[in-house]
Amino acid sequence: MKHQRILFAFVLLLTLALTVTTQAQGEVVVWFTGDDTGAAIVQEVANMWTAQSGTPVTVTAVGWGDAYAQSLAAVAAGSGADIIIGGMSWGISLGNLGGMVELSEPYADEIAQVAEQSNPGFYNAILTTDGKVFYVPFNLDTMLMYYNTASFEAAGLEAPATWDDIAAASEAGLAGGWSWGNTSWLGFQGVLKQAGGDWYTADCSAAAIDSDEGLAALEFYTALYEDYGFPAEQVPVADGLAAGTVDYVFSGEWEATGINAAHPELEGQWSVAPLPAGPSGSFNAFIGGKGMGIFSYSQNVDAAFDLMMFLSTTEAQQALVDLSLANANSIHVPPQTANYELIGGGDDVRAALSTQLADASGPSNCPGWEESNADIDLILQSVLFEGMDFEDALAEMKDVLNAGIEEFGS
Amino acid sequence: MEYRDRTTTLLRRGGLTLALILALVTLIPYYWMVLGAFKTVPELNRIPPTFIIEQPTLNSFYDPVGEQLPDHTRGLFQIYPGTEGGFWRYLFNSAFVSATITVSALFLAAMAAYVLAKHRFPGRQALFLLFVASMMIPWQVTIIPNFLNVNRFGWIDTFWVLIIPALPKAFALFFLRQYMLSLPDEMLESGRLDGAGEFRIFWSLVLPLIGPALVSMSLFIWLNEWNNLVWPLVTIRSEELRTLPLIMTTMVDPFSGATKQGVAMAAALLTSIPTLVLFILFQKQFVQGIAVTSVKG
Amino acid sequence: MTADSFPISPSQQRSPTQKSNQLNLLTRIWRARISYLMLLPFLLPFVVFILIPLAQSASVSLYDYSAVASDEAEYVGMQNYANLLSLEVRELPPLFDETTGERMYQCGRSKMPLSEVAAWEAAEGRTCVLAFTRPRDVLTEGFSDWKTFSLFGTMYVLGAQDTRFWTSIINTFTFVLWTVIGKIILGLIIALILRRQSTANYVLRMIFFLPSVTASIAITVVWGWLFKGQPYGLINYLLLQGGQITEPISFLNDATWTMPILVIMAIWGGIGYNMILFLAGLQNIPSELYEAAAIDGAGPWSQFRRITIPLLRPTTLYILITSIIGGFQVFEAVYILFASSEGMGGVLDSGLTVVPYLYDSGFRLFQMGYASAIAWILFAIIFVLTLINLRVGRANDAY
Repeated sequence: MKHQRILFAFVLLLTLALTVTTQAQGEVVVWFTGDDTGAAIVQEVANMWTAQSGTPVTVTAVGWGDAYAQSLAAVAAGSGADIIIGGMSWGISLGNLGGMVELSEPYADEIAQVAEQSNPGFYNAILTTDGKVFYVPFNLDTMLMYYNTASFEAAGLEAPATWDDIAAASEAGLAGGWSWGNTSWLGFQGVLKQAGGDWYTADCSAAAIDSDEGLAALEFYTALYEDYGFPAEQVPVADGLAAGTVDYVFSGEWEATGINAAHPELEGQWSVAPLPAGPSGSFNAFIGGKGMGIFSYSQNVDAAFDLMMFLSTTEAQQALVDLSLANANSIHVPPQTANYELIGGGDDVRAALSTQLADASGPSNCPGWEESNADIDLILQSVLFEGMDFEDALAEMKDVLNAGIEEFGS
Repeated sequence: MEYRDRTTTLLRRGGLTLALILALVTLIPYYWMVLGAFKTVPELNRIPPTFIIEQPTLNSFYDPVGEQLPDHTRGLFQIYPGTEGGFWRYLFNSAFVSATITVSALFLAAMAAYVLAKHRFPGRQALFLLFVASMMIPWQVTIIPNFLNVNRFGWIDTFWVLIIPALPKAFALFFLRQYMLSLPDEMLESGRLDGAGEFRIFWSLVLPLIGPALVSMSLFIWLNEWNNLVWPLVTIRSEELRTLPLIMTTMVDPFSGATKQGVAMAAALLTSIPTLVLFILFQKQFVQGIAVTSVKG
Repeated sequence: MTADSFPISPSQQRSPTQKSNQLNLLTRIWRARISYLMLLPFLLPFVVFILIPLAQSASVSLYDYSAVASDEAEYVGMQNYANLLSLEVRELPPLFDETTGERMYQCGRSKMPLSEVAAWEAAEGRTCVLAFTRPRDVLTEGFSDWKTFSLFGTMYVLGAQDTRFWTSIINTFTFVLWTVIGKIILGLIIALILRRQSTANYVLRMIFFLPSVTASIAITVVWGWLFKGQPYGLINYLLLQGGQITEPISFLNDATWTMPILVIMAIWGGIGYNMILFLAGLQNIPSELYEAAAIDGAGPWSQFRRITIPLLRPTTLYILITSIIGGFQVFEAVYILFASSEGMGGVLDSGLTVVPYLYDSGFRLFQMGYASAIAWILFAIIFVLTLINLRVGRANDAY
């Protein structure tokens, strides 16, 4: 019967397909949050470690949108990769759930060294308030100001170095925009610190947003969108500068290598600088990037940690920098202050980045911050788009942050 | 009478014009998708955009030059170096999973539907009611326990997890049962007199007779599975097991301008084509099937 | 469901009806073993992946549970449901200056006493309004303000423990309302226009039907490009060219546009399907009815009103029920176009609907119990709406 043959072939195919999934033993599996090209680069550097240690490594790309959920699912399932290279705040959130290996106890010496060498803004963000370490820095991302040198020259202005310069630029008809961190706490945090304010008190015991500095920050932040013409949505840096819709944009350092490539006519017409400084003199920018940690169910903790330490060496960081430039035309920023000199992408980019990295801070490590993000964004957007009262907004943020401390603090 | 004829004609003309305009609007996304998929990078970046391709190219699928802006960026089949086969693999995964589910689910549902339509046994009505009632439950209610369960089974990140939980399709069972009710019992009886077993009767007599219903149901199931995003999103982690919906979520990038849109459109095009081809092949049965669901349901 | 939906097949030979009633149950079950055997392959996965999870889901919704092994589940009873659903209304008292006791005014994003209002209004060219106490100050602890409204001259605040959930509910209702109306009306209009059999109509029908068989996930990506802000998006470009706007609209980052975009995409994707259903319904209307009405002198409009609409009622009811069920489960469009790494719902949560919120709670924050409770509330809403539909549909059939 014809039917029977189809059924048979089908059952055969099904059995085949379901039995092909296999897992090699003894290897270190790494989930890399990002695209396949990035994962391939990490794979290549990890192979250098395999050559020394003899332990094979498999690096798999996981998309940004889904990586955190996947990590949580892996922790729940008790199976998956050994190492996650992912968003900087995940170490603490996963670690607090018991999903990550605490590193400072078993590897005290190595971790002390990591603490000493790393960018303090980043390292503080991955350290829990009670001193636990679930993460080792992998790379840094921070914000820079990209600007059109020609249009600033034409207006007879220098690149904005202070908040007042932005007002002056706006008066001269120059338009600004925000790409990475647009209408979100990510961008606002820099402004807040430029004003001299902060989300929490230093010991995380209470929210500190409800201050004069907070108010100044919120006023300036609103002015960017309302008076200085920042559009409501992310501005594509290269296209925006080329089309002339913006004369300066705040965005991540990874944009730097793509501008000339996408728009050769812009070559020599643009430059980068640190963010403009606020009344406190700080020009703080948000610092992001990836950390690496070991899942608590891992059977290969020692080998995994050894690989992470290898990836933190100057040798490995140099390789990451070179391969990123060569294969993906992207900038890898080493997390170790001593390794800033490796940064590629040109002298002006390296100079601006090194300056900016000295005054940059990551997401707060205070309890409840992660869970409060969405509400903080809502309040900021209410101020920007719904005319919410400044003082009310600050009081609201304070309530949200304090509620977070109460619920998630020890 | 003459007045009425004129209104009717006017109505018809106006209606047709309206339908034409709406049809054109309906086609805009397709037009833009096809256009975007075959433009070169410089043409994608052009403002004002071109509405007829000046230089059709396959670069968005595969660009021999590789990543070399401003004129070239890697094509769809080049951006997944970490997976063997790249985008082909994801096409295969989606097709394999959707096809397997469609065939197996349909088979199970049809067999159960046959029993419920043509056999008498204790508990028959209760079971049927149970199946029908389950159609009311949105999948969101069961997704969390299902996730926790497949976790316990150790199925996370395998093809099993995509296929097995998707097998019970109460909707298909209900639809096929309604369809089978109209089959004459005498025919089944004559089969039994010939000494055929129940499975034989189901397989050789019943299945061939409900062909149109099977075709329309299978397109329904196929389309649903082809589009399924949430379940793979929470259960699949390896690159090589990703299905097309997971790939599509990475295609909308708020930071990028027009440059990467060619690749996104190429991916959208390849994702749409298989279901469109199936539809064109089986459109008659499919449309009939839809019509029947509303009349019988 | 009426009883005659379950006609019993005769199957005289094996178990004559009279006799089988006299046999005991076990014998009857044994005799029907083949039936059970053939039912089993469906029943087994049905029990494992639908029935048991259903019971589990109900139970999980009573726990504070993160699914992480080291994190113990804590029984909280109806607490998850209470958190999601509790609302309270409080009066918002006017605001007075703490020291002077002067009535305060809201001027732009700042508050000031009456004495300063005139100067501010003159300088800014805008008017001030009366200021009220901050809602959180009058709400019970744990509640935050969801909406404020004025009734008979008094301001009130409607507070909720989970304002984002209520936002998602309202967003979902808005989405369902507009998509269902749009899909039914446009689907019916197009079906009426294309009801005659002709090649042109056939081609047009296929065009309208295309979106229903296109992978929605792929087409959402195309919509994302069409709606891009700046001059890059086609829609912005066309509007700029046509002179309807002078500045590009940030469609995807503008709270007022989120819902219209979601609705447009859903209507676009659903018209063709409804059109087919209506065409089938129209075919079932005997043409004699129209002929008789025409002889009686009824015009097209009254034919439509007296014959078409009433006879299409079952089709409309079916569409209504399925569209509502489908609409409440909207996820992909929101996830692909509006979710960012920080949140699910786009600017100001303007696109946050119930299922994305469920996903956010369950699979980003891993609050499995809470997310299960959301799922059950979703089920309850769909269930009640379907019942109402069926009831109303039946009642209308009666006349």
